Amino acid sequence: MRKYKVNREQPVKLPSKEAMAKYKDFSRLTHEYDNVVKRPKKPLYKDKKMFIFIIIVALLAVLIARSMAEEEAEEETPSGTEATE
Amino acid sequence: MDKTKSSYQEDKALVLAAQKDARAFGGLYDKYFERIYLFIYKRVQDEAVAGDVCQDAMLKAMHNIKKYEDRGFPFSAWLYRIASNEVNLYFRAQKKMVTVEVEDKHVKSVMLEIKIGSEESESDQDKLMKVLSNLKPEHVEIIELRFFMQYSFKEIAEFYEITEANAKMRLYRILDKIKKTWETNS
Repeated sequence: MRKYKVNREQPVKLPSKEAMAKYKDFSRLTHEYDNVVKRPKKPLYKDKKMFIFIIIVALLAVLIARSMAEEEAEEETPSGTEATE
Repeated sequence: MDKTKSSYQEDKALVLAAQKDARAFGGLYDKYFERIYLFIYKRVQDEAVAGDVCQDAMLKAMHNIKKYEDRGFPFSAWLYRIASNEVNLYFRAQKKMVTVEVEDKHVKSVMLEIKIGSEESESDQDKLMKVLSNLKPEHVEIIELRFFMQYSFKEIAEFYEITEANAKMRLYRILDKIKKTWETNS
């Protein structure tokens, strides 16, 4: 919110070059830019949701692999009737 | 080659470099920092605030430089527009009222243009300031550019990337609005 006021005394003084130079800092700007652009550096295991998601995916992968291995084992062992023939 | 043309070419090269690698934005930063700082300072009238707002504006420009398209207007116009938006955002975010001083000669020139009140009357000048204070920042912006910062119509047209005729139309529409509010308040 701003309010205008008439200045009837002296004209508004502009800052000097030295005063402006205090605020000129390109390295600060690039640092801020990096913060905006770069991916967060938080590791995956520190992100609770992501950590649970990874564990669930890993568990599912193990379960699927085990059931597939069991199916293969059943197919390989001959049944009792086939053996007597 | 005249100065404007060479500056235009120089900006083009600097922009291209910054679009390829954001770190090359330094060239544009060095060239325009002071001008943008002063532009912001004239509107916020506080050195530290102008410094922060200028940094935010430059950060936005650096972040969006890849989206910049050359439409035949000076590159500076794009920067000034970003800076102006940042100033408007700053004023919107303030919960406390921020007072901006305007020289009386500028107030008088607005009154003369719209033909309202008596430009020597202090109460009329204050009344106009009240009307301006109640306008939206986007609306009062063109008044600031034309009357308080003495922009020519060509510069206003470049600022908004419109034609000079449209810049005039936009200004007179706002002046008309001010006149109507003034008359309603009288």
